[in-house]
Amino acid sequence: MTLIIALACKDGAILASDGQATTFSMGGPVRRTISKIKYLGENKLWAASGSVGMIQKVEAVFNSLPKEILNAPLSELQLRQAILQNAHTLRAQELLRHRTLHGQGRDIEAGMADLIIVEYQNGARIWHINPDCADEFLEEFGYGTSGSGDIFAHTLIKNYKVKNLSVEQGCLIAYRVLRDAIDIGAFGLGEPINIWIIDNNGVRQKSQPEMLALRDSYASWIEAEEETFKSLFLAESKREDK
Amino acid sequence: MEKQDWLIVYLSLPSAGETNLIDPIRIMKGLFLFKMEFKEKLKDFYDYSPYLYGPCSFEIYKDLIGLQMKGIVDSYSQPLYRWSYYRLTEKGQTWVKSLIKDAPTEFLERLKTIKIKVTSLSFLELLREIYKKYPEYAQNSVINFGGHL
Repeated sequence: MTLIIALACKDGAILASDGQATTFSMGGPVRRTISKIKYLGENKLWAASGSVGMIQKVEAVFNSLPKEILNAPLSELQLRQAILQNAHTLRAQELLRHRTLHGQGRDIEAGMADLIIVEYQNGARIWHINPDCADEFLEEFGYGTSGSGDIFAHTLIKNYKVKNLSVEQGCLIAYRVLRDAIDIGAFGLGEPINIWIIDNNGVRQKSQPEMLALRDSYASWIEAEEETFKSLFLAESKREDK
Repeated sequence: MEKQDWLIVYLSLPSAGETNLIDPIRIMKGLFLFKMEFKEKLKDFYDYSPYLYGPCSFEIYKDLIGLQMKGIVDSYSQPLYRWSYYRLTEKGQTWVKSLIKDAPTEFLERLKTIKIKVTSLSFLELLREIYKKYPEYAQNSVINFGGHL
């Protein structure tokens, strides 16, 4: 289970995720802590939700692509075709394997990967590739999301004009969405929260002190919201008393 | 005294309330006010930048992590409480005695006053006061007092 959030901010792009994966064992599903965000050539990151095995196969394919293709911007057709063709081949192989074992009509149980690729190079881009390899660019909406917890992200992020925000502010939005989704107890989501940014200074992961600062910014924000709500509510009550 | 020593001394000083636990915002803001008052005299103190909740020093977070690993500081958080609170451990309380002995009285007395003040104000009162006095550190804040500081 996963929640991945991609944000296209005015001065950079963000890719953030929870840090928990579920793998299988004979005794049932097992929780594991993993890093879901990975490099993809220059100024690009990717992450995926879905089955761990499929995501590992996708990663192996990405790692085998020539550097000159991987380092090309997402606007390059050659890069997009290489990724889509490989993702399609993997999906087709997995469906074939699954149908051979389980027959037709149970494709939903087959391994799959829902990919999000983020780039910042003269502007932010968010490329979403569905498990069936249909793809879409999402930067005009300001954000993209993937995983079983994505409904939290859609509900919360829609309130913010992400494209007008700085990367630092975007990181706070990403942290809040992930924190709330984990705290509410969305099944299978868990710590640690990982946040990566791409801006004119390159690609980097938020350090531990920076994550603590985000945690406290989040707490400050909630504190201020509560104070505001209280003052609005009390002001309303006072008016009614008169 | 090193900057980290001032952090340890600050944690040991009394708060306005009875608790010895302090949240990270009040650590951050207390040491910021201390720095601003003594910036000519304090050499190599924490760097602050305008952050999402006003003046912030990432070095302080780094030092808090380091001090926790050394067993001088511990943090306390409860499920559903959004803050992590910090305090000195027993080892930290022993450690701080020699630091207090070495601390210049003028600095120490002022730091005591600052901590009492910082811990007596509500969260928003504290931010409002700091933003009013140091608006250049409020420019990236997510909490906007709408120009009515």
